[in-house]
Amino acid sequence: MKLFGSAARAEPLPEAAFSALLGRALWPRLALGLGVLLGVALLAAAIGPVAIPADAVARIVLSRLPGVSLADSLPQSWQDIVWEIRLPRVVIAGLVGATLAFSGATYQAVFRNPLADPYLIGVAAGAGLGATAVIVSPLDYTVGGLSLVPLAAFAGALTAVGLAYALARVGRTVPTVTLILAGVAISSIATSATSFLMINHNERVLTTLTWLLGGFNLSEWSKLWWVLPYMLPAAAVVLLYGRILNVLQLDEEQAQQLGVNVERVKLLLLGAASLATAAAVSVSGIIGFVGLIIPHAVRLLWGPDYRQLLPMSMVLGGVFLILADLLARTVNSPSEVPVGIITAFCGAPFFLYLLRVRQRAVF
Amino acid sequence: MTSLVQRGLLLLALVVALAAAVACEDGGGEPTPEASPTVLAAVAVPYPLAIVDTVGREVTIEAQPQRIASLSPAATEILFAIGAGDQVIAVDMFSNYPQEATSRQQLDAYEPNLEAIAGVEPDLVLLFYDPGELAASLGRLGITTAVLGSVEETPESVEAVFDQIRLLGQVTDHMQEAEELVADMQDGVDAIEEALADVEQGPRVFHEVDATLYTAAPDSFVGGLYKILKAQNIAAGADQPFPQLTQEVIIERDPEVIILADGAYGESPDTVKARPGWGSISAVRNDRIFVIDPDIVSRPGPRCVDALEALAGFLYPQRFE
Amino acid sequence: MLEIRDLTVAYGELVALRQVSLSLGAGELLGVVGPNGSGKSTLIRAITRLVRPLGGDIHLDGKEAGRLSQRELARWAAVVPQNPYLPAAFTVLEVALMGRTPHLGLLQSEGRADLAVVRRALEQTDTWRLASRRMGELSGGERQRVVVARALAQGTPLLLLDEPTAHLDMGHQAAVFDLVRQLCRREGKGVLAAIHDLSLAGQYCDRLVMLNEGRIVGEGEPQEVLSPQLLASIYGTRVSVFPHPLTGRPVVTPMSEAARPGLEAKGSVGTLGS
Repeated sequence: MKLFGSAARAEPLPEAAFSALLGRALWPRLALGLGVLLGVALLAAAIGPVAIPADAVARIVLSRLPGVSLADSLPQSWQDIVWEIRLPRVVIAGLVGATLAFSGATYQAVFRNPLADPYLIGVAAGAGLGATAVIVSPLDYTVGGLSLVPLAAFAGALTAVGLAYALARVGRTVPTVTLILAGVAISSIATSATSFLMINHNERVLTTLTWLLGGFNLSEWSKLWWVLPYMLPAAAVVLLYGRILNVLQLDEEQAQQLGVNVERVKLLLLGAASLATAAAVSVSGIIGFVGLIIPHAVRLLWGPDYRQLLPMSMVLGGVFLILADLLARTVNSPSEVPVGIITAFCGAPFFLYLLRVRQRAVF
Repeated sequence: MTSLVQRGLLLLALVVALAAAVACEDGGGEPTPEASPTVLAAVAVPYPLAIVDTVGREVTIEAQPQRIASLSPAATEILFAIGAGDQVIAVDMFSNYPQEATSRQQLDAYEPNLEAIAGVEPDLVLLFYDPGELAASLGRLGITTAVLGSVEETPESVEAVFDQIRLLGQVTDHMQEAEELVADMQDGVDAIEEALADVEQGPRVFHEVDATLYTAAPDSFVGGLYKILKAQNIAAGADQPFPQLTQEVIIERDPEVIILADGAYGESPDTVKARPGWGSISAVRNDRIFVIDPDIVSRPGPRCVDALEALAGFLYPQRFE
Repeated sequence: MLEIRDLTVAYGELVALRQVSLSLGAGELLGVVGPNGSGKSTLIRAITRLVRPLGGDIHLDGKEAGRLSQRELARWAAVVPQNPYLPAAFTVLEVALMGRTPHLGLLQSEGRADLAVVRRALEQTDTWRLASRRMGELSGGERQRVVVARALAQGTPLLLLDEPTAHLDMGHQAAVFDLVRQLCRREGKGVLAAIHDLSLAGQYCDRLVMLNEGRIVGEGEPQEVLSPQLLASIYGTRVSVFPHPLTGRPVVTPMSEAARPGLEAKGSVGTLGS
């Protein structure tokens, strides 16, 4: 069983490489990863600014099963905190982390660029503009039971990406470099517009900034349904195309000569990743570095094969963001630190580390 | 704030003494019938007036200001309340009270445009916040500017508000109205403090500034109001005046009263009750969720006693009808 | 197997191929020669539909190439490009396995049969022993052989080689071309190879096509096409062509200035035209 495989190689027999390729190495790693994810989730549910003993947490969670009632003696506030506040937070943070990670990996694959992250072609800037526009407007946050801010964020994200794509199109192809440039241009416009709105409505600056920096403080179970319907199909599509993503790492001409319909695949995968990211951002704000760092960390550990990179990124991304969120709500209690700040703090040291190991090619 | 007034009084006393000494032949002004404890009331010609503002600048007011530009909503309210409204020719965009103030020319307090302010030709500019050298720049243009409080140093107590009212009374030569206003407000505060004299500890309060759970900690202005009301602010222990609290902390600290200052953005007792996980909070169970106008609780101006009275009514319904 | 008729390809204003017609049968090794910029690479790219022709058509085994899907095309023709980008982090084996892409469905992964094909291809190019090494660690020549192996692994009847031995040392050049010729003879593959080394072309190819500025200027057996007059006019330099002592096939070398005085005396070079 190879848990930590291809990182360092002497001259192992090609036979070992064969069985690695038959995917046998992935399942044990994935199982371990999922185990870690579950452990971290439980840990995060048990820890918080409010001290609730671990066994109480376990009883509260188990009592959710039909016919089980172990938590009757516990204070209602504890039950509410664990079930209505912490668990939704942990689950949503995990989902958002996984989404950002696999989207980042997909973007890095399609653009063949190690600096790509899911916000490259405008998702973050568009979402930020949408959310800010609603926050500073005289509109209520909730109209007819529908939360406007996440809706506007989602719409803004998709609009920005769509515009970038439309601008970059040349006939039937979308050259990746042009797409990046278009995305950067759209992002600048959106970011400037957002800053302008913030300055002109500076009484809302605090609220806007908090949203932009990202956080899970207002998580509730209903928000799960904002993310899942987009994230699950997108993840399924991207995972299916793992092998094709490997082939894309040659240049586009070679991929085409190997029978891959490059333009269609690019559109499909970027579309899926952007959609999932837009949904995640609408719920959590703009959390940086996850989509960028996690795929690189997985590459460093287990190599560049996207068939394992994608699922392991999802697992590692979920773990990372759950832990970051745990820090966000405990490190400065009773205050909440925007989780984007925590992930950024982890980003810089990671990049420095990446620079140092650059000798060994990882991309 | 107290040091400002102290220094102002001292300087004023000095100036007055000098003026009296020099001009004693002129016979001075009208003699004031009541023996007021403050030297100021005896003075008939209060100008030129030297004060020190909250950022330590010495400001000399040559004559009664007739063209005041007030870039502080609180100062605007005070000026109109002490009868100096006619001397105000320009206000900032947030000076929305009293109604009369909105008819004045509008300026931007957060991103002040030097030209726009100078264009109004004010003889006195009042700032509550100096976004980088604005006072100095205006000074170079020969415009008298006073900074009354800053974003970091909002007056923390009602006492400080009284001081500001008196200061503005001096500055605009409406000292009598200023003292009357202060006396009125003091009566209001005294009444509340008396009614709460026997209270050791008030109810636990959560003051919601914003639906993303920003609140006012004890060291903010509204936190000061809650201190007068002896309420237990659940944001105690935070390291800044307006922290964002985590949801679980709010639930665990179980406020008995929730005051919403974000009614304008769609929050109401119903939306709060609908929040998942909040059902066990005392305030939610006992339906003690109230909406308050954010302007009156956050402005260190004449209406802060109205705010105090409203809050007192929410916190102690039996004692204050 | 491959029929090209009146193919015209342009990149914007620049016409790269003009009315090019050629045919290639199974078991044939066709060399495409010509100076830089003559259109050799464009020809190969046109066959695999990386560029769309302005005119003319391409038929693969009677079927119009334009009607085939990218995947079907990839099962027909495998390409060894000239300077392919190869990701440094993937291993030789992983890159070679990518040659099986046209044969795998979306949900499929490489199976034992695929691995066997790839192993054989790697052994044939003497890169099996490098299977676990990452592409970034290899020399230029090793990388090129891996790309050849990948094309072989693709298992196509037609092989398109664009300067396949540019970075290889003599020994490996010979090895690759020996292999290619074997594939033609024993497995009936058709091979179209763009070669700039004229002697190599002369030694190995069954037929040659010479391109110049997008047009065919010579076609036929190597001895016919590699005539000194034609070569001098095309390449703009005097050349010496003589038969190889063992095989009789033409060997081409450029002639240095020093050798010119003995031109007519040797008789192996005809009069040099304009």
